[in-house]
Amino acid sequence: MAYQGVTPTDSQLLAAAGHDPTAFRQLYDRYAQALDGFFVRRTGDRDAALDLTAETFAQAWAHRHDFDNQRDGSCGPWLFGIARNLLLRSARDRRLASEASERLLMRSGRSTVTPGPEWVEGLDVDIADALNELPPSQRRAIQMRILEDRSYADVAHELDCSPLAARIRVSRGLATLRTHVATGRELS
Amino acid sequence: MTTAMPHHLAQLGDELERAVADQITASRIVRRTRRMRSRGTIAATVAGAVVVLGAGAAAAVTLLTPHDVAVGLPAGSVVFAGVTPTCTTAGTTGDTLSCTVSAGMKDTSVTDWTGTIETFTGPDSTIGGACRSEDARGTEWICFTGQKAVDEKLIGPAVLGVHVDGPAAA
Repeated sequence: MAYQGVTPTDSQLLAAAGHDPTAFRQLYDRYAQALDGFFVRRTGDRDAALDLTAETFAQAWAHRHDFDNQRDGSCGPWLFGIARNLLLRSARDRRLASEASERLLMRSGRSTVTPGPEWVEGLDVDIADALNELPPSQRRAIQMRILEDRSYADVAHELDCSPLAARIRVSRGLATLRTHVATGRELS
Repeated sequence: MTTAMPHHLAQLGDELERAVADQITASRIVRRTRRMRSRGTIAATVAGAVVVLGAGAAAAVTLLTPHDVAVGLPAGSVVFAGVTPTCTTAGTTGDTLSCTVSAGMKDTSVTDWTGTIETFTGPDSTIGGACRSEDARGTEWICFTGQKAVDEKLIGPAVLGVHVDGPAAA
C-alpha cells in the first residue's frame, strides 16, 4: 500500500482494509498494545485479553463501513468503544464474545475463564479516573465520543468548536489515556 | 508505536491479517460471479459443467433447512453481521424460502437493498444458495437453495458448492 511518503491516517487504513489486508494490519499495529493492555487491566487474564483484542479487531473489520469518518481522523475512540461494549456484553452473558472472530475463522477460546461483573465494576469510574488527568476540554470530548458514542458533529456542537477541533481533542485525550492504560496496574 | 510489539500480539496480528486476506479472496470469487451474471454470460456456461459440478453440490444443498439458511446468511456474507435473520419455507418444493431481518440491516453503506443478492453457506461451509432483498431496508429476502438459486440466476453454477472460508466481504 503506497502513500507516497505520507503516513496514512487511521481512516485511510480502515477504508483500504476491505481490499488490502496489510492496511488493516497497520491499523492493528497502531492500537493492539493499547487495547490488549486495557483488557488485561480489566480482566486480569492475559488469554481473555487476547481473545477480546482479537474480537475487537474482527468486529472492527466486519463493521468497518460503520466507522463515522469525518476528515482524516483517528479510529481510536471507535475501537475503544467496541472494546468497552465487548467487556460489558461478555460480563452480562458470562462468556467471552467471539462471534466476529469465529466468522473470520480465527482462533478463539484461548481463555477458559468465565467473565463476571467484576470485569466491569468501576469501569466507567476507572475510565473517569483516567479522564480526570486530561484537560477539561479533552475530558468532555472523550466522554461524549467514547462513553456516550456520539458523533463528532454532536461533540463539536456541544463544545462549540469545529468537528476537526473536536476530533483533535479526542485524539489527544486518547493518546494520554493510552499512556495511562499502558502504565496502569499490573497483573496481580 | 514506539515500542516493539510483544510476540503474542504480533502472532495475533499475523492471524488477523491472514483471516482478512482469506475473506477478501472469498469476496472476489463472489464478485466475479456477479459480474459474469450482469454481463449475461452466465447462461453460456457449459451445461455439462453444471451437471458434473452442480449435481453433487445441489444434491447436498437442497437439504438445507430454514434454520440452515438463517444461520448461513451471516456465515456467508458480512453484510449480515450483527443481524439475526429468520427463515421459513415458501412454496412446496423446499428450495425456496422467505427470510426476514426484522430490525433491518445494520450495514449503513447501502441505502437501498432492493435487488441486492447475497450468498449463504451451508453447514459444510460451501455456498449453498443465495438470497435477494425484496425491499429497500433489507428486511425481506427471498432465498433459493442449491440448483434453484442457479435457475433463478442469483448465482452461477460455478459458485454453487464452492468452499468459502468465512463470510464474503461487502
